[in-house]
Amino acid sequence: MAEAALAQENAEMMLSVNNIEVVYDEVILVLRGVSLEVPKGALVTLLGPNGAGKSTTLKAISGLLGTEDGEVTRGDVTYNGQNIANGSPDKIVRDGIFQVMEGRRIIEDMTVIENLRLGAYTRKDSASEIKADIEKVFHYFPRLKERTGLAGYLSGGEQQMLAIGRAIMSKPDMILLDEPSMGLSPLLVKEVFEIIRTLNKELGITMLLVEQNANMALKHCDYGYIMESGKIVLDGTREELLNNEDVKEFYLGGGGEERKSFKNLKSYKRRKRWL
Amino acid sequence: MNWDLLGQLLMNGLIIGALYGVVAMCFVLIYKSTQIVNFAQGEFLLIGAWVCWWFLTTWELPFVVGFLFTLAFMTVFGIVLQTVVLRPMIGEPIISVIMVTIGLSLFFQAGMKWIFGVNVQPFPKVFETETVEIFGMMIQTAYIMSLGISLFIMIGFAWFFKSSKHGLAMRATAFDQQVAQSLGISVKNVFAMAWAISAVVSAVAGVVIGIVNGVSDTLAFIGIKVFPAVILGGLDSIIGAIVGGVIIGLLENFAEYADGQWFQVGNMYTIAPFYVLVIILMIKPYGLFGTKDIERV
Repeated sequence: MAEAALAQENAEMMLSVNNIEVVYDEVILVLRGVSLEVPKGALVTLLGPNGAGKSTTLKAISGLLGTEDGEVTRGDVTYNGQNIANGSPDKIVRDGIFQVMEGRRIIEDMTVIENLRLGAYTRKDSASEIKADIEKVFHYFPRLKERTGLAGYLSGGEQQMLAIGRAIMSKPDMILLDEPSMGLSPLLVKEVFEIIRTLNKELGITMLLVEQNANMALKHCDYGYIMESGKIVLDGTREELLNNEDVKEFYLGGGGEERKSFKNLKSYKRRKRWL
Repeated sequence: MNWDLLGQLLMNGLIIGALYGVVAMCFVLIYKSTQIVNFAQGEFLLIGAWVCWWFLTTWELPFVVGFLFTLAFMTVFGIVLQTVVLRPMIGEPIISVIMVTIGLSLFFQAGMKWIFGVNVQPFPKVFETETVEIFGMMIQTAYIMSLGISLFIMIGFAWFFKSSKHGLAMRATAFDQQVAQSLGISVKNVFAMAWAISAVVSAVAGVVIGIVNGVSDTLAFIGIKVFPAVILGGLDSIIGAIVGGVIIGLLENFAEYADGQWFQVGNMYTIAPFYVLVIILMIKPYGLFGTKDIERV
């Protein structure tokens, strides 16, 4: 491919993670050369089994690795042309990337409004602007408005909505969502995903979504990556992934009828590793 | 029963208790946001009072200017102390950190004695010492000022933690440091801010007591009195610290009254709070307002 065309393509990428290696506690190698790209305005999903390193990838981007004794030891994370690998989390939030951490992680002994105001911590806007934005969050999550008590008493779904609302309050260019469906009922998962898609479309917030719920994630994403034991093993547009036999068999259930014999399975595995 | 004396003593208790409450709040502030038990809290009062005294006597500055300089000095002092001494201790075992703060306490006490001597030094006259009669009790204006300042500081704290951005950030950091960082809060700055606020507000209390009683190293003893107050209120509750402080103040003075009237054992004033502390901890080990984690059912 011509290098000019490659540069052209890179320019449109809001975030590109280039071949990063992440090491925890200076000895545990968790990511072994992960590369992925997120174009501006897209909803990109990162799928994979437990322990594949999905959350670690997000933390490598948001800088939260440092809080867990992790470090990007090779490669770089380029955001709007700047290398932000191993940057401090508060600077990265100011730059416009906000991570919604796994398990909601709202401040339980504060009210809904206080949590939302904290989301706007890095903004320099006046109190009235922030108030207007809180109303905007309530527009997307009407049920949060009625909750006046401590956030710790909200239901799981409401807490997830609050966590996403808190992210919107920081006026980010990009949100990293770590398993928003965790511990929610199928109906709520559907609702949360619809809101995520709406926010992506209406507010133009670029999203990088890590999920276990491959069905939901693939239904709503533009592009997807699949990760296994610290590496990206497959990537493609939504249609490509939905029609891929391996994805169907391992992540969506069903598919893979033609290889019932053990011999074929082995050859499949070899092929899959190679990918 | 000598009702006049009792009333007077309880009034004193309220006033001194409010000051204990203020210092206890400063202690809780540091404990809550940085998980450090600061045994040098009393020395903050001592340093604040001496520095202010030094500005007013040696430099002969007007009180307001000297006082503001003191606050500025204590801000820098708090930040430097946190960044230079305590930041490297992050992640070390709690007992090491406690040893460090005990060491700081001894160091500051000795240092203050070395620089300013061991004698009680009166503050230059800041306000006219008058007494006014309230509900039939004679009260010095200095005491009323002290109560007013305590209340002002408490309201200030309440506003700070409820409404200001930095107060919310501090509460978030106390709740979960990783989440705070994910929100864009710089935990290092929050820690430095906690120490600075704690040092400044303690210094205010130190100056207030210094104005009333003169400056000497007995001021650091307030730091010890704060422990029953803080533990009574629950180690991590700001409101608990205030309530605990007032209770300890009242208790001391009531113990003094009871001792003078009936027991005649002497020095009940100092010991009584600690007796009550032990009893309360037996009944409510987390203190009156200690954290109960939210459990969703």
